[in-house]
Amino acid sequence: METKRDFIWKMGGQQGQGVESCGEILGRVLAQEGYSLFSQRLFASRIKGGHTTIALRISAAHRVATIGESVDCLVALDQETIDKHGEEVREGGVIIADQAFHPKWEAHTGRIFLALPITEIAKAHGSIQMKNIAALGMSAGILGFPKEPFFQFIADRFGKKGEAVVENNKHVFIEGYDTAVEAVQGSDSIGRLAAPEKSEQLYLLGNEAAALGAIAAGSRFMASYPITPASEIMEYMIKVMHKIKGTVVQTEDELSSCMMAMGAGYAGVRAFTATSGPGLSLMAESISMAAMAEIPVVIIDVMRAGPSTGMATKVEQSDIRYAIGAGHGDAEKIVLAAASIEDCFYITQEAFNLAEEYQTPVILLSDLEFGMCKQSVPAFDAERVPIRRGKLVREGLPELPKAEYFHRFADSEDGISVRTIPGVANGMFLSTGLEHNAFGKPAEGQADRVTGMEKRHRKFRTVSKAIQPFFVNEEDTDADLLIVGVTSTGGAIDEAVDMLKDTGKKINHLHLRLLSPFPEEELRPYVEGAKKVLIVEENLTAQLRELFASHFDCHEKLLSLLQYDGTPFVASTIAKKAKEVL
Amino acid sequence: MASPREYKNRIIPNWCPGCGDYGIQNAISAICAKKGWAFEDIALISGIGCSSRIGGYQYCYGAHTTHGRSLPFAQGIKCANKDMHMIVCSGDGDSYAIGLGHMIHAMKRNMDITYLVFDNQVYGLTKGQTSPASSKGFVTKTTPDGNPETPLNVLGMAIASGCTFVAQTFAIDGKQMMDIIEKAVDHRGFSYVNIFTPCVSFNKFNTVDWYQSHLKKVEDLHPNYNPADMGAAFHLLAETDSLVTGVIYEEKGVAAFDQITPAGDRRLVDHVEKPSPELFEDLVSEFR
Repeated sequence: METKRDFIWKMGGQQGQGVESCGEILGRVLAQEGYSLFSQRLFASRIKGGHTTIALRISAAHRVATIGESVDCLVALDQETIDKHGEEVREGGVIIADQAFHPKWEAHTGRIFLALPITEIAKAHGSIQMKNIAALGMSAGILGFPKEPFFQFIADRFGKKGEAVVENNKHVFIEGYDTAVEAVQGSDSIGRLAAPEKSEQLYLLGNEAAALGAIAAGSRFMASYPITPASEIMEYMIKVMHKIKGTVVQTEDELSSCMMAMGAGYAGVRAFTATSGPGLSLMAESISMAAMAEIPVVIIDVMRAGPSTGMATKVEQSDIRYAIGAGHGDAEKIVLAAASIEDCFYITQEAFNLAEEYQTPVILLSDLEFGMCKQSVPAFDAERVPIRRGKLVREGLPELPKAEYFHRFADSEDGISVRTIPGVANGMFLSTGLEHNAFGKPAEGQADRVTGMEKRHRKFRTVSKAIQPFFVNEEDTDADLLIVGVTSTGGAIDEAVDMLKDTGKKINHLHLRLLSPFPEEELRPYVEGAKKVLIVEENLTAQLRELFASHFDCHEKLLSLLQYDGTPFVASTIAKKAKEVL
Repeated sequence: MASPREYKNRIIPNWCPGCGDYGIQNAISAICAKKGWAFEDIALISGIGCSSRIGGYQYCYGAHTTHGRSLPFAQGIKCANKDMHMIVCSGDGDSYAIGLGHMIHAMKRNMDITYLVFDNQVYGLTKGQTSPASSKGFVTKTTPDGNPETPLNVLGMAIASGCTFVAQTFAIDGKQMMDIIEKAVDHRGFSYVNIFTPCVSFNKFNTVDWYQSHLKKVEDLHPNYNPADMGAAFHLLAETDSLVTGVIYEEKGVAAFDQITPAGDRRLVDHVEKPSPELFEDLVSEFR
C-alpha cells in the first residue's frame, strides 16, 4: 500500500449520536501515539440536535495546522452526512455508512462505499449508545492503526463504570475493526501512514492553550461572560480553579467583566477577560478608561463572523479594525494576534507582561478556528516567558508628606511611570478617567492635558521591541511574493507555500503577532523587499490590508485575498490566488 | 490615630454650597477615623455624577471610574485584595439607571463591600434631568410636563436581589447617618445604604423641609422592628412608600463571596507567580 502524507477522517451524524466523542477518542489515542493532529468540529448554532461533524487530520511526519481539503475516510451515521459531505471524499477514499438507515450513495461514484452494521454491532455486544465505538473500531481498521492503544484508552475511559462496560466496549471496538478490515480487503487505494516517532505533545483547543498561558503568566483572576467561541477559556479556568486557588467571576455582562478585570488589575493581580465581537463592543467604554487611567488588563477576543450576532459558530477575522480602534477618544492600547494554537499559550503570557510593563489594556486576538479546534502541539514550556511586571513598586517608598499623594502618573522619558497598587503604604494616588495631573487629580489645564496625552502616547514607542512582532518563514527579505496572514490562516498559508515550491519562485510567509502599535519599522524590509505582497484575511473589507496601506505607500503591490463565507481558508485557494498574481 | 479631617484630601469639592454630599463625606471620614483604618488600606471607588466626585476627595486609594460601573471595578479590587476596606459611592442615576444591572448582581454576589448611594432624585452634574428615583410629576428639563413615570422601588429591589444589608438614611441627619454607615461597614457581606441628599440647585421639590416632613424613622413606626424579617421589610416599604429611614433588612451569616471562592484565605495580589512545575504538569496531564 502507498505511504500517505496524511489522512483526513470525518464523521457526521445528529448531535447526541456520539460523533464528537468518537472523534475525541480517535484524536486522543493517536496524539498519544505521536501522530500530529488537527481536529475541527462543525456544529449548528442550536441547543440540541442538528447535524454535526467532526474532522481529524492525521499526519506522521509534518505538523498539521489546518483541516485540509479531501477526505480519505468519511463515517456517516445519517444520510445528511453523505449528502452534505460525500463529495468531499477523494477518489478512492472510503465512505462508511450505518446499514441501519439504508444509506443512498449513488451520487458519489469513484469512492469505496461500505454499508456496515454499525448499529447492529453496538446492539449485539453492548447497547445502541456504543455506535460511536463501533464506528471508531471501523475507522481505526480502515486507516490501519493498531488496536492495542485503543484498548488502553477504553480501559482508562470506562474503567470507572466497571469491568463489564470496559469489556463490552472493547468487544464492540474489535467487532467494528474486524468487520471493516474484512470489507476493504483487496482495496489498496486507502494507503497507510508511516509510524510516527513518539514525542512529547499536547492535544488541546486554542482556548485551552490560552487559558493555560494565563495561568503560566501568573494570572489567578478572570471575569467573563459566556459567548461562543470564547466560553471554553472561562470554563477551563473554572475547572482548574480549585487547583490554582484563584477566582473566576461569571459576570452579568461584558461591561462588568471588563471593569472587574480592570479593578483587579488596578489592585495588582494579573486579570483578564475573554470574549468575542459582541462582547468586545460592550467593553469599548472600559477600554477607553483603562487607556486613560493606565490600568493593565488583558482582553482575549476569539473572533467570529459578524457584524452583530453574525454567524456565531463560523470563523472570521473581522475584528482587526475594531480592536485597534476600540475606545472613544485617543484610546491607545496594544493589540496582539496569536499566530498558532501553540502560540495561544505563549502570546497570552506576553500579553500579561506587556499589559503591566506598559500599564495598558491589551487586546489579544484569536479566532474560532483556534478557539474551538484541537491541535497536537509540542509540550509547553511554562518557564520560557518569564513574568515581567515593569515599574511596579510594592514596598520601600519614601514617606509621603502629610496629605500628599504619590506621583503615580509622573512624566518620564519613556512615558511609563512608577506604579503602585492599593494597600501599598506611601503609594496612594487617585485613579480617574478624567484628564489628570501627576497624582491623578482631575486637571483640565492645557499644560496638564498635553503632558498627559503625550506621555501616554510616548510609552508605546518601544512595544515592537518588547515582543516578536511577527513570525516569518524566511529571514531573507527578498521575495517574489510575501504572503501575510493573521491568526488561524497560518496553516493553510504554509501548505500553500509548499504547493508552490515547483513554481521556482521565492515565496515567503509572514504571520503578524503585533497589530498595534503597528511594527512598521520591522516590517518595512519585508514589504519593500517583496515584489508583491498578498494579504490573506477572512473578512470582506480587507481590514489587514488597510492597516498595511496606511503605513506603506506601495499600495499597488499590496494585494488582497478575502474570504467571508464563514469557512476557513484552504491551502488550494491561497495557492491558486498566488499563482495568479505571481 | 488619624482625625476624620485627615481622611479628606486637600482638593476642594465642586459640590454646590448647601449640597447634602458634604455631610456624607464628613460621615465617611468620621467612620474611617473611628475604625482607625490605615489610609492605604481603604479603597473608595465611585462612578460618574456629583456623588461620584467623592472618589477624588478622600485621602486613600480612590478611583473615579465610568458611569454606572463603580461596582464591577470595586469587586475586582476586592477579589484581588480581600483585605482592602471597600467603600463604593454612587448616585441615583449612576446606580439605578445606567448601573442597575451591576447593582443587583453585586448584591447577589455578596462581596464584603459597602455601597453608599447619594440619592438626590435628580441628575445634578448634567444640570437637572429626571432620574429613576424622581417622584412622579417632578418637573425637570427632560420632564417639562412632570415625570410621568413612577420611581423605582430600589430598597425593595435590593432585598429581592439578595442584598444582605439594606438601609436608608438622610444626609442632614448626621447622627443617624453615622450610625447606619457604621453598621453597614461592620456587616460581613454586601451592605447597601440609600442616602437621601438634597440637591439645592436642581431639585426644588425634594427640599430639606420636604424630606424632614416625609421621612419616618423605622424605630418610631415599629419599636420592635426586626430587620431579619424579610416579610416585615417589604411591608414596611409598602406602608411608608419607602419614605422610611433605618436598617430595613439585614441577613446575617450568609457566606460572603470571599468565603466561597477557591482563592480561600489567599490574597491573590500576593500570588502573581508561575505555577510550580508539579502544578503545571498536573494541569497539562489531561491533554497528553
